[in-house]
Amino acid sequence: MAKVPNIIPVTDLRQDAAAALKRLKSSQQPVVITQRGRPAAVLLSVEEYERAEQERQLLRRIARGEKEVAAGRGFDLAVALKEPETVHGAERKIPGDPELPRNPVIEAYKKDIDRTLLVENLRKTVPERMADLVSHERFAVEMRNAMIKREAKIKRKRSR
Amino acid sequence: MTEALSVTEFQKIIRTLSDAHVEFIVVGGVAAIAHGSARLTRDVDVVYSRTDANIRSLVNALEHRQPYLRGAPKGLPFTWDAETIRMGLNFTLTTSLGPIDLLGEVTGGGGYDALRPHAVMLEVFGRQCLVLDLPWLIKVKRAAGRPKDIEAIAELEALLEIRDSGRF
Repeated sequence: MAKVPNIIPVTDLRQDAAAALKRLKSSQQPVVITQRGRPAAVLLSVEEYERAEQERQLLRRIARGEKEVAAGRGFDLAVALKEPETVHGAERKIPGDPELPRNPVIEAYKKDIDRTLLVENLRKTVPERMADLVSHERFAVEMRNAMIKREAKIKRKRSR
Repeated sequence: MTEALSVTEFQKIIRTLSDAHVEFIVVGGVAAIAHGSARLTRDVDVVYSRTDANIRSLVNALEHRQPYLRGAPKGLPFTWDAETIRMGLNFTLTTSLGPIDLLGEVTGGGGYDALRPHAVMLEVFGRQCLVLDLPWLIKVKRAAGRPKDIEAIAELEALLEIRDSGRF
């Protein structure tokens, strides 16, 4: 079922902007601002806005790529990965290693990496990261096996 | 019916190899996690030294762990001995401890001796182990050119950027 949109009349926003922001935060949904009963604007959290911007940029790149492919100017993925300079031309380097030129395909993917998780991991020691691996893997196996069990149960029921 | 998955004994794999004095460098997903990756892996990838002595150590380390070629049909005449390892190079194995990839060489990085200068000593599961450093981990993953690695490479490069920004 579609979610009921979060709507605030502009008069309410004017009277109590803090409450509107609180509502935005607690619902984690965009808030539609209405004026004279019609939608006039949308209020987004900064995170949501940044995510949407990144998605828009990625879509724009994909569209540009599709145009280039259609014009016969595309590159094979294997070439793009192995010979980024062929695709990108510019010799921008990755910090920390002067021998690694940036790759446009990887750069596009990098925009969606959740760096907060990485920062959190970097704060941990190597043994702590390894302990996380063990517990996450156990959890993943547990979940996968629960799914296998469920599928087997459904199959058994169907065969009766 | 699909067989239930069993948990990979990461700790036992690393300790088994280390305690048998196998010369190896951890690469792949476990190395990425050691450097801070948030991705999950199910196997242990190591580049092993191809010296006769090391091959013997490797054979001894895994001989009681039922090593067998991963994905191969059951009943193949696969013998886990020094001769088999000498005749081959890279082995993707199932073992009673979980999947292990034993690599004599990796694309873009070469063998143990070539990678050794680019490995760092880290404490992994209570053992001091050589782990391929982050720039070289990226380099070999890029050289492999597998589309499935793109996201992982992007994450590793993001890690390198964060690390080199001086915050860690």
